[in-house]
Amino acid sequence: MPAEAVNLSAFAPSAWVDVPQLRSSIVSRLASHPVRKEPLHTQYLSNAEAALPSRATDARHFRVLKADAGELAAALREIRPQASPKFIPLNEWEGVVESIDLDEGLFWAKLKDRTDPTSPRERAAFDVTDVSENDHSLFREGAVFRWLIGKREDLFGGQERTSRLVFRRMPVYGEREIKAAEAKAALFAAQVTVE
Amino acid sequence: MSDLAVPPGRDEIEVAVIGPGFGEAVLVHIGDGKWIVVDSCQHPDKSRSATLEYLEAMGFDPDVAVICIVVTHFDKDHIKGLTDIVRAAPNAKYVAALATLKADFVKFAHALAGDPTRAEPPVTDEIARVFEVLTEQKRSIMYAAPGRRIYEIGTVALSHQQDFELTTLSPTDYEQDVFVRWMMDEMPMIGGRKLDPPKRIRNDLSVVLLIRVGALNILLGGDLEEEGDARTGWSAILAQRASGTWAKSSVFKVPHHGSETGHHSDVWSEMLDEKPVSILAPWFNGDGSLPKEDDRLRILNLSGAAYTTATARTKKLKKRSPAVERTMKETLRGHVSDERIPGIVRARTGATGGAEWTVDLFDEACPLQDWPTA
Repeated sequence: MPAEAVNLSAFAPSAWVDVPQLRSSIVSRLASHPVRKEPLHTQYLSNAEAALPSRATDARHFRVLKADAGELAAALREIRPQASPKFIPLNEWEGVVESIDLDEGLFWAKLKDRTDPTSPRERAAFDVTDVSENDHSLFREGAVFRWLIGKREDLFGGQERTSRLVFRRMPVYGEREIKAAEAKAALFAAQVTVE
Repeated sequence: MSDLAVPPGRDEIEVAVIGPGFGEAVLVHIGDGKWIVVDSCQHPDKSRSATLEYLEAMGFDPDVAVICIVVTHFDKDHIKGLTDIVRAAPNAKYVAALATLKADFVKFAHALAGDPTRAEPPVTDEIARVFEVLTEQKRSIMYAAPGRRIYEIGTVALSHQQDFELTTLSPTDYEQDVFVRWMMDEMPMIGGRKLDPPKRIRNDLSVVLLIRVGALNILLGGDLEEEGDARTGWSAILAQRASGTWAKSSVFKVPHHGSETGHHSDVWSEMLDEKPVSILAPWFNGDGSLPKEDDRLRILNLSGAAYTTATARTKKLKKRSPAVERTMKETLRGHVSDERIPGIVRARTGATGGAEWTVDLFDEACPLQDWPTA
């Protein structure tokens, strides 16, 4: 079925897209919109769920079915200008999960401040519930994440302080990388004498 | 107050332990400006190996002064800045566990290294760089094994006329096999997700060194731990004593930051003088540190004198904006600075033996009785 691309960048001005938050924002906007129709709302969400990319940090577009496109596009046109939940970052760290203590419900991580790289290295304990549902599959020892503290503007222009963890979708090893590592190992074995 | 920059005399033996900063390092002066360097660490504010900075502060040229580089194991707290040393001392013997000289381990390190987007490079970046330099230099390397003489008597001429020998006491073949199996299980594969390098929890691969100069013996325990298994740890080393050739050591680099798991009572009764000089570098992570109070008391009780290279003091965290500070407080269940202020414990004595060791403490180093706060 033909589909129409809907640009989500208006909903996600930051590179860090929090998908559950984004979804809830859309629902909330649709719910209060005068031309919203209940079936359309359901259809919209259902398609959005199916089409949201697994790499949420890269999410910029998803697609909706053409069948509802006319009415939905009108709704979105109405929504988009006012849909600008902004995240204003105040501080950002890169973290690596060091240890996970599920009994205590926390995890320790090494942190490096990316806002002020001269800041000393830190270690911090986070509540495991701070890991968003979206990131559960990525949460493990050795996982790399960003910790962002910032201000979020709500729909009515109000601001609230917020903290969010965004786990990095690490790429997979390609054949070229593994072959390169093997070549370096072979060169080492050829050039170095072990006695 | 002693001066860090005053080098040891040609006929003086020195053991210096530096740490923690990023890790710990040991240097042993055997006479005539010749040094054995063991592992490497880096000061938090510096970009070079603390070992090189220490040597250069005393006026030594590493290219000439360093005759041997020993890597006890490839934990991140033992190798920061190691590439600098390998590059600066191209003629030094390089000694490491055989399992870490195999092509599979070199592949392992290279595959897990090199993510330029990371704020904090993983430990494998340093390991891979070390292998690159060793390859460029076409180095000749010696592997460590139980009872292996890296230097036989007479192979290093010293003006003080005392015999010098350096022996590795570990790791055993069994330990190397266990390590290799673990490594192969963790080996990156095509299609596998990239992660931070896997943590090797066991320290069974750590190289332990026995250095003898004349009547003086020095035991450097690395991070070796005890598991109650005759094939591993200190039990495996003690099983070698059947030869009965070991003299007891008067200086002990306490293994594994003084932890209970690094302790074996027979090491103290059979490999060390009755009251040796004990030196350790502490270790920290977010929710704990070593040595613990029981460890501190045990080591003090067994030693004539005991020292730590640092207290638990850390570099202060910078104040952030009130909004950030408040959010951090609301979010975190624990938060500490991870930058330790390092120090140096330096012990010197005459090469002919018979005199007491003179110990000097620099920067954050202190007697172990004052740990953790001094």
